[in-house]
Amino acid sequence: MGKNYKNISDTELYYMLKGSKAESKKAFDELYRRHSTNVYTYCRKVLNNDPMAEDVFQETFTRFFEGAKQDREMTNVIGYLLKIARNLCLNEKSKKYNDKVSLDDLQLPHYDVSYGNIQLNEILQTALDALPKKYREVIVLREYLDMSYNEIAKTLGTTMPIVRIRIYRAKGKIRELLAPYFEEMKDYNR
Amino acid sequence: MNMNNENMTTSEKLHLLLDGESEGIDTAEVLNEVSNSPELTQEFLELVQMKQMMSGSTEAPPEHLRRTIMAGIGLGGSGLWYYLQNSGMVAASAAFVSSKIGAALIAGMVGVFATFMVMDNNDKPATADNSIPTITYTQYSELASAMPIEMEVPVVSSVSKDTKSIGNSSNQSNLGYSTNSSSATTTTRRSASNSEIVAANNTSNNNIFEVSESKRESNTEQNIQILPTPTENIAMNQEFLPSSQNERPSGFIINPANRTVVNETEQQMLFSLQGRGITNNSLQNADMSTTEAPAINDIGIALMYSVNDEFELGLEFGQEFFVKKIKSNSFSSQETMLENQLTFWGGVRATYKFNDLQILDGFRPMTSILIGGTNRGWVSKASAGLVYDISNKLAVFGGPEWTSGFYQFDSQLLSTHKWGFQYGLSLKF
Repeated sequence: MGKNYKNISDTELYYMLKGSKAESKKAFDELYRRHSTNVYTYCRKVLNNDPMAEDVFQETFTRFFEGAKQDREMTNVIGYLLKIARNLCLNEKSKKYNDKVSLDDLQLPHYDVSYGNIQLNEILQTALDALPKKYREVIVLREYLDMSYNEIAKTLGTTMPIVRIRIYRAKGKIRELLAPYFEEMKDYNR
Repeated sequence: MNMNNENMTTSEKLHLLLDGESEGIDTAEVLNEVSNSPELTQEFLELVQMKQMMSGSTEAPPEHLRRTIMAGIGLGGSGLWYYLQNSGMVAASAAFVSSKIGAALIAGMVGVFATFMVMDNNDKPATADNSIPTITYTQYSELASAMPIEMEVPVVSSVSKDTKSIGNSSNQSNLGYSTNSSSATTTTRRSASNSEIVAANNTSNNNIFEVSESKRESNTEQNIQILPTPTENIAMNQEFLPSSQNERPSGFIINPANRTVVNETEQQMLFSLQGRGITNNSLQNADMSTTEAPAINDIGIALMYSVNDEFELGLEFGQEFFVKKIKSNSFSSQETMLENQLTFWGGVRATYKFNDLQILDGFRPMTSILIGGTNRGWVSKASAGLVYDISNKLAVFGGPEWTSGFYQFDSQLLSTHKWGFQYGLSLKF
């Protein structure tokens, strides 16, 4: 009987990537199955550009695998994956544009309540994209990937108080941006 | 934002509560304050709404990304398997193996595979590579001394009418034992000498023979040859051993030079056993069908040898229906009719596999021909298709196949042609 890779921890799977090709492949498959959705969501939400997000996503897993071949101590696989993705996202962002859209100049799409969540998601994404990078990433990690403040701090290599502040401010900015829509929703629900 | 929970505003505490970071926060107090303040209530509602909008909106990456990554890091080839698992094709395959054809294919392959598993594969030719470690004399000594040997006389029983050869054999035997006396004594019981070995019942024990001198010449019908290790071989073996070898405890001669440890982990898979299913899409509607329809029709089993990574050559056998003209007698007249006959065929198959397709990761186009015969004439097959290596030991393949059968009818060579689809598994070993 073969191993049941679903019961093996992330860290063990990570070290198995250095093993034989068959073992390495199964370990990679399992790690990919566990974490690809989070990494992909992070890339898409942070970059808001599908082709770019796909490139970064591929590059993330490729670098992750290459890194595993080296002797590296590993305690938090998803954190490591997100660190790679984050660095690549930052590089891509700085290459393409300088993220200088002012919040005041931001033109959010018109909201039609009849389209419900589809449009809300677009609006949210637009609002996210308008946030400074440091706020955007904490919101993505907290709200989309459901990471705790402590996990976010470890992933970003910072402290919990800083993460708290960033999340608080990021949410405040999103509330400001979405204020018109919240008003519309209130009117619609009356 | 304050770092100390006590100095935080209610709004800050509210954010932490909603994010599940409520350690050190009095939840009841915060909720009480929120309910007493319209601004905080509005903030609370909006934050909850934001959370609802964002939660659960993760997206799985498209499957093609996974295949690209796997190919990029050299672990390609699993895209199909991943797809099969997620598309229910594995369940469909299970349904296939439960069918008659599938069951026959699997049973045949398992049988042959099991046969190969129990066979001793250590007789592969050893290479002359000096880097291959040989057993040392120390290891040899340990091995030899550790083996209590019961069957000490390597003898072969045979029937011979040549009395002289018997005598020679016996002489050889004596020579052998005189050189290796310890072996002789353990084998032929200590009470017997080399020159006179007491005869025993050779029918009851084929391994231990005791031959009386007096019986040697008269025993011409049922003779026994005793073939101990020739003296020359012993001398040759002793070249590899120091002088203390004369004290070795058994009659077995192990030539250290012949003992090699071969690393088999990098063995190339030279052979493959292929099970093939064949559909006959264009089989003609014959006037008559034969009643022969065993469960294992429309299959082929091939043993292939990989000449190189691209080219395979081997033998294949199978059976399937072919339409054939026959003469049928009906009362006073004779009619020519078509009959579908189950035909056993066999032949030489050659397969050529091309490089991987760029658009289909892991798939290799292949073409194959078979030339052979049937129990009713000649047969040739030509096919093309794709082969996919699931692992280094297992591959699947499939593609269209054209078959031509030739047979004699009324002193004429007739042919029957059909096309279909061939598919199967290849087990490499």
